[in-house]
Amino acid sequence: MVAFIIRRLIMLPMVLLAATMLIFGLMQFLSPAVRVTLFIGQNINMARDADRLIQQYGLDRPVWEQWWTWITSVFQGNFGFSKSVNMPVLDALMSFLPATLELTMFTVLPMLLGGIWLGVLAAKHQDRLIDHLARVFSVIGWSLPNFIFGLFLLMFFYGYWGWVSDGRLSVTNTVSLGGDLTFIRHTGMWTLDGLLNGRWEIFWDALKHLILPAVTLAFLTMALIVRVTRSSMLNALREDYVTTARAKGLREKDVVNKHAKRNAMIPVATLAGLLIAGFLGGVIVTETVFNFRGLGYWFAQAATQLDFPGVLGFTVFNGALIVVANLVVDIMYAVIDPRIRLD
Amino acid sequence: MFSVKTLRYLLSGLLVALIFVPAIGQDVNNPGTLVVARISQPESLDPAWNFDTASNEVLKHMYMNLFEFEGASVDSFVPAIAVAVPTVANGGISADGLTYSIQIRDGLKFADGEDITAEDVEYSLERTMIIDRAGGPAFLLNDIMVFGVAFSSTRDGDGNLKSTVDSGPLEGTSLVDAISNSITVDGNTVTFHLVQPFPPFLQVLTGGTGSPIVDTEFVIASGGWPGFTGDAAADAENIAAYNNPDLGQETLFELGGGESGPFTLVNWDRTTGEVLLAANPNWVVPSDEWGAVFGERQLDNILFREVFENATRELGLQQGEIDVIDVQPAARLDEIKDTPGVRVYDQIPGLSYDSIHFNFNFQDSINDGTAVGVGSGQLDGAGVPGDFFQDADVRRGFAHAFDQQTVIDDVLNGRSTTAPTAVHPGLPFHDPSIEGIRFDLAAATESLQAAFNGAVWENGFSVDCIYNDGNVRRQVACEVLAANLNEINPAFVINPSPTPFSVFLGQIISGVMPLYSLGWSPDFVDAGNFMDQWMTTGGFYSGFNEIGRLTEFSEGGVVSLPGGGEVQYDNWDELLRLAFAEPDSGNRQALYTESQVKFVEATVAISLTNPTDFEVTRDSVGNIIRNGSLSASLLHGVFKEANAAPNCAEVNRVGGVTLDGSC
Repeated sequence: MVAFIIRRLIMLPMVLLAATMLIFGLMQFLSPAVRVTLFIGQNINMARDADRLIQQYGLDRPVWEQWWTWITSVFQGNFGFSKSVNMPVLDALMSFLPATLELTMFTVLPMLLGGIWLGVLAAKHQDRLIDHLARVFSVIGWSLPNFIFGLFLLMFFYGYWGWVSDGRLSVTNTVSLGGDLTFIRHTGMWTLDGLLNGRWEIFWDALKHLILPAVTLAFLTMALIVRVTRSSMLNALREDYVTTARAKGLREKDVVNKHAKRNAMIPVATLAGLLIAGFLGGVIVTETVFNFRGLGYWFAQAATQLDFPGVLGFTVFNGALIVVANLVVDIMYAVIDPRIRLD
Repeated sequence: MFSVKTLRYLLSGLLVALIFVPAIGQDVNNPGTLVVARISQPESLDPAWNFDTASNEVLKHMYMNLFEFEGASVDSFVPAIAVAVPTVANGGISADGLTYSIQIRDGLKFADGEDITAEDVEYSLERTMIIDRAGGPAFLLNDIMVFGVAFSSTRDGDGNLKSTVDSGPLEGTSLVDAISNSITVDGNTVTFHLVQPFPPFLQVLTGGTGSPIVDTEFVIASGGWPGFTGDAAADAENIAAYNNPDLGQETLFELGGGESGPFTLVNWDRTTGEVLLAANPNWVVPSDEWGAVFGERQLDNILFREVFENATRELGLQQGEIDVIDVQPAARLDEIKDTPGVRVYDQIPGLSYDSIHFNFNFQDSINDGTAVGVGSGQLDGAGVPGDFFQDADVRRGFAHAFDQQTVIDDVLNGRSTTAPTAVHPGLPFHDPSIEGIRFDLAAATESLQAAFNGAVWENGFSVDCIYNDGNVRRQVACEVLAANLNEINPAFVINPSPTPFSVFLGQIISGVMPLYSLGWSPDFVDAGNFMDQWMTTGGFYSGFNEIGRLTEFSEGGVVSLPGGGEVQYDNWDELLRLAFAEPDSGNRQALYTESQVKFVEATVAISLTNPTDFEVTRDSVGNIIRNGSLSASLLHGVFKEANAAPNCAEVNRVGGVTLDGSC
């Protein structure tokens, strides 16, 4: 297994280099006059300086030269400046990551617990009411566009009832924390930092603001978990060892939980790992609708504004994340199923 | 009693209920804090960098200028740091318009308690001039105090800092001397030395871009430009060191502490897009005139938030979490106005102007294959040639086929003037007697039958009308033009074509689009700032569109001046240069009238809209003053209370109304 892990980790920089080369290659389909608009933004007056800006930022140099300039600065720790969010790329990664991590943390548990529980229940009671309801839920959940669902939630819980608001904190706490030098941001996650600073009002406020985006994400991905769990459980429940276990007189509860479920979890673990990796790469639509800004928001801004340093920085991060996530899933696979050997 | 499972459910329910404690209804949420939700956040909080609306709105409340706009007015001012608004009559402006002497008020302080002095005024503006970041506001000062040409730069075409002035009356002077002598101080009087008359100079000193007054000592202590020392070599080195910084490197990018305005920066979180300002304890109402317009400062905090999604902003306003919002598109106003607790300020004169632009020469881009939306590139019914819009009959035919009123009525619900030229009704020197090209399909037919000696009518054409993706009024404008031209002759095909803004702007810069729609917002409120962009070879649109190709451009003319005499010009560049520099307002009117006449006669562009401005707030927000020149509101005297009274005097002063009938 160690050799397997090392081999996969060696592939990581090669994958990332290839991804960055691909992006630089795609950049060439956009003329320097188009790429310089990143530095112009909405201030079209600045377009008069387009030629000078193109020269200043080397936008008309050969693609290989631009890539080499970028890669050499990366090795010196400089990933460039993300103009779309007005901060260095590394700062942007560190600034937006906590919101994404926090949202992921509060989404994963309900997604997994709820999805697995409902999927197992549906499989146990195949073709009965609970199974039908679960399948309808999974079809609706997977088909429903997340921005529509999110806007509905926002409309009712924010617009009509005023129970929550957008963003990560209320105005009151934003203002009170603004000049509060005693509040230390250990993690950038308001829930954890509220607890670590002993500020319960911050913790509750942050939790309140997490509910809607987390529910939106969890609801839609839970649908997929339900489908896969149900399908996998049904297959497991039909296996000979399950029949044998029942014939031996084991309680149905033990047959399902101790025997069938463990085997059924293998594809679910794979899916969950990839979903979590997807969350950690940011969820653009949910973050935009709820104004809950994480990596997804940053990437959307960078992409639409042709902020290539931002796009490249995000690609490197997300590429590494996907490779590591796949590796972790493969390892989990081997842990769950001792028959699997990684070599 | 209860099973463990039941208890678990009860506890979970209690937890959820605690989290979802309904917001206790208050008449006014967050009293003392005004929450403003805009589409974008500032780019920088350094006044020398600032040249975008979002930054300007924040900086307007962090720093004072020498003057402030008199409420909603765009061309009258109240003194702020200055003792009085200079005029020729009071001796503040010399008769030749080249010298402005402004006395600085005593007793005003920066946020750190230091006095605001004449030296701070000198330093603040000179700092903007030497920083001169690419595309920034420095040209507003450098053009008229150093280089004597429009859109000047302290750098040459290769991006290298100039050592001497290379144009205008100061040509040959060292850059150090030119800038350091442009503003002088004698006691508490600051004197500005212009190289050419510039009637809108007070606009520049008021508008906020590049001209707010900063604390010299604070900026220098924070690592900023040290100012002129008198040692020419050292001064030249210092200019080089601070000239054209990258974004994020300018000293006051996100730094508060030396504010001169009513509020100070507490925090700018670029991740959440929130800028929090707090009341500046060392600020006082600077003048009686200011106090008469804005009153006392009443807010404790202002929180500017970037909320990108329209629906989220509107929900926040509805709930009372947000007090002031951007609304897009303007047609939403008629739906929002009936929302309880919401007040809409409408019909405020707007200062932006949209048109459909003709590119007068795109043959090079056809030849090298980069042209966009030109079809075959020939007048064969499947495209257009590179000189298509050089023919005046083509331009006139297109303009006659465009129904401007339909676009204004259907898309903007009437919220626009029918401006005939770029000098729209909101600008000084607009001539209301000039009529634009009227919508007339018979006239359009006649013009297009004559175009290219009949070849256009016979062969037809196909061309894209390009606009930035998501802009409904430009989309509808292209569709209206397409439908009407097609009605005249089915061989006339216009393809409305949306393009992402970044790509769109790049294509304008490259000059590869034949026909496109975009607008202009003022750098300062003056006819010249608009007309130049449409009619001069150095103008933003006319430059990229090669207006010099038109025969009308070089026809020249003579203008009789009301003050006596007449002026001859050889081309539109000269006409507009003369108009821009003319100190007498009567003569200026005559020259700008001539330019407006030529605009219509030559059909330089198809006028689209001059949209009116608006603001949307909670009805608990009082004394908010929307100023069209800033595309933002002045919040100096805003207060929050239930059913707050609007400042009707300021609203009505500019012809605005509130849709709830309160003004």
